[in-house]
This record gives sequence, C-alpha cells and structure tokens, in this order.
Amino acid sequence: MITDKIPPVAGVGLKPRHFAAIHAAPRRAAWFEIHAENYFCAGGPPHRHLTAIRADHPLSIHGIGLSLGGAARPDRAHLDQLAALVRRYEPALVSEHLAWCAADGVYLNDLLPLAYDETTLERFCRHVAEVQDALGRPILIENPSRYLSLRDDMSEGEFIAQACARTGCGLLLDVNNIVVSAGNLGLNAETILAGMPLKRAGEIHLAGHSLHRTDAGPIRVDDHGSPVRPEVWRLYDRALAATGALPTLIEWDNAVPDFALLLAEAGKADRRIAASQSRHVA
Amino acid sequence: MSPELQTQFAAAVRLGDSQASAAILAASGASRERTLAALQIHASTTSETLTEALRDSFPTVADRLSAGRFAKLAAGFIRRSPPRQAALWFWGDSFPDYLSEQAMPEAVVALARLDRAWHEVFAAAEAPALTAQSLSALPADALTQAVLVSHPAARLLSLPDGAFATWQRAACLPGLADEAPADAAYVLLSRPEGQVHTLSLDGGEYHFLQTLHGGGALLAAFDRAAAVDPAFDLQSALSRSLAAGAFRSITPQKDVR
Repeated sequence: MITDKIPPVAGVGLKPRHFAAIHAAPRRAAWFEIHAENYFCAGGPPHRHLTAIRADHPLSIHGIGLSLGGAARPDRAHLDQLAALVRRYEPALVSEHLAWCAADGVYLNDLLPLAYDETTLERFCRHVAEVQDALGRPILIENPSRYLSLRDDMSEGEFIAQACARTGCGLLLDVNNIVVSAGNLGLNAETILAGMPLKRAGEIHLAGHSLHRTDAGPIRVDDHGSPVRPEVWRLYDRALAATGALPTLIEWDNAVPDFALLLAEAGKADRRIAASQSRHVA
Repeated sequence: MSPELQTQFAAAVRLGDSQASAAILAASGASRERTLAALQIHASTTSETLTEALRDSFPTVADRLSAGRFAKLAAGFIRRSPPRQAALWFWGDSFPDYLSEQAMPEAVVALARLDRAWHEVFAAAEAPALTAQSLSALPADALTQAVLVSHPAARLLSLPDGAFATWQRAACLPGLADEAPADAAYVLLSRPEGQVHTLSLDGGEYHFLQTLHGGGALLAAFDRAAAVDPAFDLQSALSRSLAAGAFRSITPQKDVR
C-alpha cells in the first residue's frame, strides 16, 4: 500500500461507476478522495474495489456526517467506524466540515450553517478535539457553502483560524464554497479568501455549482454536478498564489461524468498548479 | 448557535414548520425573502438526497413505480422514519413494511424486500463460508445435532407469485450475477464469490434453511423440511446451500449442549 503523502497535484473523488476504468488503467489519477460514510458497510464489493485502488494510489478520507457543529457530541458509533476506516486504509488526509447535519437524533443529509459566535466556536473545538483524539491525528476542516448567515460575531476565516489555533486542526480550503457563499451572502470572494488561515491549508477542493433564479434573486447552489466555473478557477489561481501548490480535489458527485472527463478537469487544475509554481520561481 | 435554534432550523428544513421558520427569520442576517429561499434550498437538498438514497437502495421498486409516485412514498417514509445515522447504507430497512402499510400491491412490497435483501447481502461482512468438507468431518451423531451459523451475506425470502421473476428482469442492481429469470416462491440470496447470487429453492429446502438460520439443529431442520415435503432430499439441499455460501461455521459442540 502506498503510504506517501498526497503530492501537491490534482486528484479526483472516487465513484463506483469509475471502478472498472480505474482497474483497467491504474495511476491515471494521482490520488483519490472518498466520502467516509460510503464505506461504513462491513464488506463486499465497495471495500474490495477500494482495497485494490488504495494499493496503487494515495487516499484522502472526507467525512460528511460527523456534525461537528451540532449541539450533540459526535456520535460514538460513527466515530468508531471512521477510526476503523482510517486504520484500515491509512489515508494521507482526513477531513470534515464546519457545519452540522443532525439534530435531536435525526440526520438531515445536508451541511447546515452555523452562527459564527464564541459559543459555537467553543463547542465546535471540543468536537474537533474529540475526533482528533479518537483518530490519533489532526484533521482538516472545510469551509462550507452558505445560503444565509445567522448573526455572526466573527468572520468565517476568523472562526476557522481560531479552531485551528485551539485544536491543531488544519484547513481544507474549498474555493468553490467561497464563491458560492460570497454570491449568496453579498460578500467579496477575494476578501473571504484573504481572511482564511491559508498557512493552515492542507488541501483544496474545487467543484461545479449551479445558479438558481428565485424571487429573492439568484442563488448559487453547491451541487457538484458540473465543471468548475470560470470564477472559481480565477479564485483558485489567487489561492495558489497564497498557499503554494497543494493537493487539489475535483469534486463531482451528481451527474457524474465519464472518468476521462473527470481526469480532464483534474488536468486543468494541474496546469494551474504548475503555472503558479513557475510564477513563484520567477 | 444554541441547540434550540438548531432544533428549529432542522424542523424548518425537514418538516416545513412555519413557527420554526419564524425563529430562523429572527436569527437570520438576511432579508425575509432571502432567508426563506435559503431554507428552501436546504429543504430541497435534504428531501432530494434522501429520496435519491432510497432510490439507490430500492432500485427495482423505483423502476416499477412512476417517479412521482416513488417520490411521494419516499417523502412519507422520510417524514416518519428519517435516518438516525449518516451512513445511509443502513437506512431504509423498514421501507418494505411502510409500503405494505400504504396499501401498495403485494408484488411491490416483495420487490422492496428483494431489493433490501440484495442491499444487505452486497455490503455484508466478509467471512469464509462453511464447506461440505468441514461438515462431513463431523461424526454421525454430532452431525445430527450440529447447528450451522448463518453466513453474514445470506438472506432467505418467501415471495408471492411472479415477484422473483419480475425482480430479476428489472436487472437494475449492480453486481447481480447473470441468471436466467425464473420465478420461485423461495429464494436464497448470498455472495459466494464476491457477487450477489440468487438460488431458487423448493418448499422443503426453504423450511430446512429457515430452521437452520433460526438456530435449529440439522436433525430438526430435516424433520421440518420432511414435514413440508416428504420427498425432501437432504443431501441435495445441503450441497446446494453450502455451495451458495449459506453458512459460516458450525457452532461448537459445547454451545449446542
């Protein structure tokens, strides 16, 4: 099993519909990321495929269901399953979200917004610390897409910077989410980016989003169902200039395209990473 | 952000609760229209992704019903039995019963039970299957009292006429081994070589395996099968079910006693 760090190049989300293409020609993608919960099953083809793919590729495990911003502590059974998955597949990176997705024992299957205040921060940090203790390693926290704000006392960047400082976690910088949030909240995307603790960034996410027309005006919806939009690529260039080259994931979770198209999208990210490095050297 | 506000947010998103929405409006930094639009985005994401998860778990049912009918049934199920954990692999086990309560035709409920069984077998834990060689190594007196432990990837079903053939023809399940559609009232689903297989059973075989899967000893299973089918062939039933990977092990003798 490859245990090296993930190189500072583009990788792609691992999808079952691509298993055959990956087995037929391994190592066309530099690395893969999985959603942890999709592999919480005990056995069967999902694990058989992942085991084979992991043997040839570095891996990142991205959780979507721990509800770190929730009122309740992280679910113990969920955390145990995540820890078992991490032990089994030895990923280079483990990440979760600055969001909540469960309340009163009901799971909503969406990443819901938090109020960025001290009460939330203190609770969020406790939960992150509990997860890191259970996994025995730091995790990255992803900045979310937001459709509304809830009386924040601090910016998202300040909130995440505090979480990093208090828990030792890092940042999973989702550039697409910044563009989505900026559009929906009437903020400037470059200002949001500049406010993030970019020195703590360990990975970048890129994805497509869609524009929905509503009575309240256009809303950007983070649906991961299309190519990365031009304004996201532009902000990605800005991000790379600040962070240097980082592992960058192309997320495409709905209307998943052929593997070749996904790799082509990763190729665009690779060219931008290379360009940013040559600018840095020059 | 208080736990109470999260509870209200969840109620607004999941149930469209107007009082809860009012609480979110009061806490929002955006206009009323913008806040309601945002809540609607979250409500749509929640209901659509959970409906999609149910569709993935019950593909044959979704294929059989119109999209609108399935979505309506899913909405009712999501409201009554929302997921309690983020791993949606495990959610939906009561969907067949829900369909039955909604007075759906017996054939559709049977498709749901087949889909669910396939889903459980597909993702069950790995374990070596009990072999005929291991079983034949037992002395004759121990053999009659042997209790066989079910394999984690084995499910038995009793079905109404036509359901199994309809389910096989739908062919919308990945990894299902190619088998010619043929109707059967009794079926064993298992995963002997990494792929989900189905084995049609006669009445004797079904009651034999049902007794064994329920923890009964071989002799008791044989008696039950013979009572149902006087021509029950023990050797054939054991051979077929062992080849299909129906069992994991033999319960140690001390446990039998």
